[in-house]
Amino acid sequence: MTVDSNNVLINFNDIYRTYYMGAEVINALNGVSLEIRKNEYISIMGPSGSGKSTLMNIIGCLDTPTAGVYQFESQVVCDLTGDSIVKMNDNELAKIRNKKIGFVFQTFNLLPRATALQNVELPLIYAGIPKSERREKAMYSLEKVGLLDRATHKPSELSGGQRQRVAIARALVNSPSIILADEPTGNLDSETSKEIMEFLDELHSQNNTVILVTHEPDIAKHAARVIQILDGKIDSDIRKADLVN
Amino acid sequence: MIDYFRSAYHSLISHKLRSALTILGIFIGVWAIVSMQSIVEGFDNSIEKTMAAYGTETFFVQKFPAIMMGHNWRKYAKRKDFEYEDAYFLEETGQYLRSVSAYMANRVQTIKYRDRKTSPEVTVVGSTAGFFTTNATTIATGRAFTRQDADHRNNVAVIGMDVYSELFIFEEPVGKEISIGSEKFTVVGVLDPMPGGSFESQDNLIIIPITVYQKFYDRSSDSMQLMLRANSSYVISEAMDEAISLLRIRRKVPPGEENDFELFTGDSIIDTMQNMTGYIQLATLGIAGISLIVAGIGIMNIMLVSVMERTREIGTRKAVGAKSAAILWQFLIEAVILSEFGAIIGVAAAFATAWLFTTLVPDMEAVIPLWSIIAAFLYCSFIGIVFGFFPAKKAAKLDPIEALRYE
Repeated sequence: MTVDSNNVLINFNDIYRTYYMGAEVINALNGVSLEIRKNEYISIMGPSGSGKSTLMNIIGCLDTPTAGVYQFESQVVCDLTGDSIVKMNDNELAKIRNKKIGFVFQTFNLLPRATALQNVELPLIYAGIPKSERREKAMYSLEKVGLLDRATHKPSELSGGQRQRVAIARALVNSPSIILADEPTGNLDSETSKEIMEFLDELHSQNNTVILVTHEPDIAKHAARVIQILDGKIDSDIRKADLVN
Repeated sequence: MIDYFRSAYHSLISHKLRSALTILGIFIGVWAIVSMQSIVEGFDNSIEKTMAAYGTETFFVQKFPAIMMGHNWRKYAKRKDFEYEDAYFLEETGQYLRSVSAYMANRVQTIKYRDRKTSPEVTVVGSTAGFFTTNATTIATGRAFTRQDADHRNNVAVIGMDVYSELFIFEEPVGKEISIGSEKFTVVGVLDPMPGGSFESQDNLIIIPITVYQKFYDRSSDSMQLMLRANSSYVISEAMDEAISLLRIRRKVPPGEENDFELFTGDSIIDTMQNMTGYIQLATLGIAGISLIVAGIGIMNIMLVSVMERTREIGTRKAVGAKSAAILWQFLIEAVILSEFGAIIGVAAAFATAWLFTTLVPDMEAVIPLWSIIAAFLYCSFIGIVFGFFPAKKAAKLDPIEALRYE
């Protein structure tokens, strides 16, 4: 298999995330090395406490590792090897989250008092995009998830599936490099889950990079690559193509 | 930036009751400050107007200070009373004094003429004949009473325009007999309307000889005042010096001892009054300033609750790319909008109060000084920033991961 290095989106090199709780030292991530390329469709699986949430937070630049090198596209998010300590500050991390990463949460995390449109606009506000352009992009994004007619509804007036689609529209609005979905169907019934998963599949087919964090094998199998995390380490990293072979 | 204001506005609107209650403290503080300033200002202006009517040539002498503060009343009460003859003495001996009069006016009474009565009651002034020249009043009809009237204790009276128009309609007042209480008086003249006046009309008065006044109404001369008029406003200080030395001789004040009487001009009364209202102003500023600080603590409290409640929202905002500074601004602006909104309705209420005051109290115009409005808004911004900063900082510092997990 040939790897075009230009296609590498995320590069983890021996990443540690260590917590100190009093005298106890907990390695939530215990030396993880990982490469994610453009347009991959990945599931990260593992039991609770395995470190998969920590992994996702670090990929999503919500958290930073305590050791190792993390490169996002060509940028060094942090390099904590040896003497050279390079670490993005909070504002730089916020900027990456804003422009490069689209989050989809289990609990949707929509602003309850804002309309669907205002929720989708939120990342664009922080990107400093002027109002008219913001509106246009947000409407386009809502159209993609098929909720244009619900633009002025508040989350409380939408069904669970619709809320998650608003959240996906919000994740897409800034044309991010990756979609990071943390248990996106965890709060949905099976019918709606199916619908959302089909939607994520479709996003992937439109050349988006999608990372799923889940503990449900049914959900995980949508992805072309499944990474199992156990005790802060990669237990297995299997591509579907490998399975077929 | 506009988006911050919009989102702050929306979040405040969605908690109407809570926002309203938080604003209450600021509202009351601002209302108290601004309306008190306007009333004090109105009061000052009206004193100035009244005193200006006396002109710059007149000054006054009496036992008591013009405005007494504290409780040394006894000290002044023990001083020797003035006699109306003092006025004659000063007028005759003073070179710089054009005219001097003694007068007392502690009494209000109903005046009757046939079946007519005055209402409200009329101020009865007992004075020497010099009153008309020292006060620079002119007679509309008839004549002023004379020193002879005083010496002979004639029951004669000069009435003010208000009394005239109430008792006599289409009737010549001069020579008519009116009664003040049970005593009968003959009207000898009517005064022209007097200028100035603030709390009440200056023309609702009746002037009788001071000798008669003392005989019927007030034997003690405690409250006797001398009104002195200098030859011109240029020699007012010479006239005052002269009056002091003449009075010291007449009242046998030993050299080196302080005067046993008080001397003041319209200006000095204005000064003293403004001094006093200045203190009132300062006191209300202080109290209201403290109440606004308390209101600010209320804002801080509510903002902290709001930050708590919206922890997940803050987490979400940070996850989609809000920088800490953006979160800080969001909450800071909310706090400032809260306090400024309180200031706006406080100032509006103060305008209403000033209007009410002006309407209810005649001749008094409560004006809201522009500086007090500006100061109110600046101070409220300051309160909003100071007390909004801590909650806003707390919101900005939240860890996005924990904030997202917050239940």
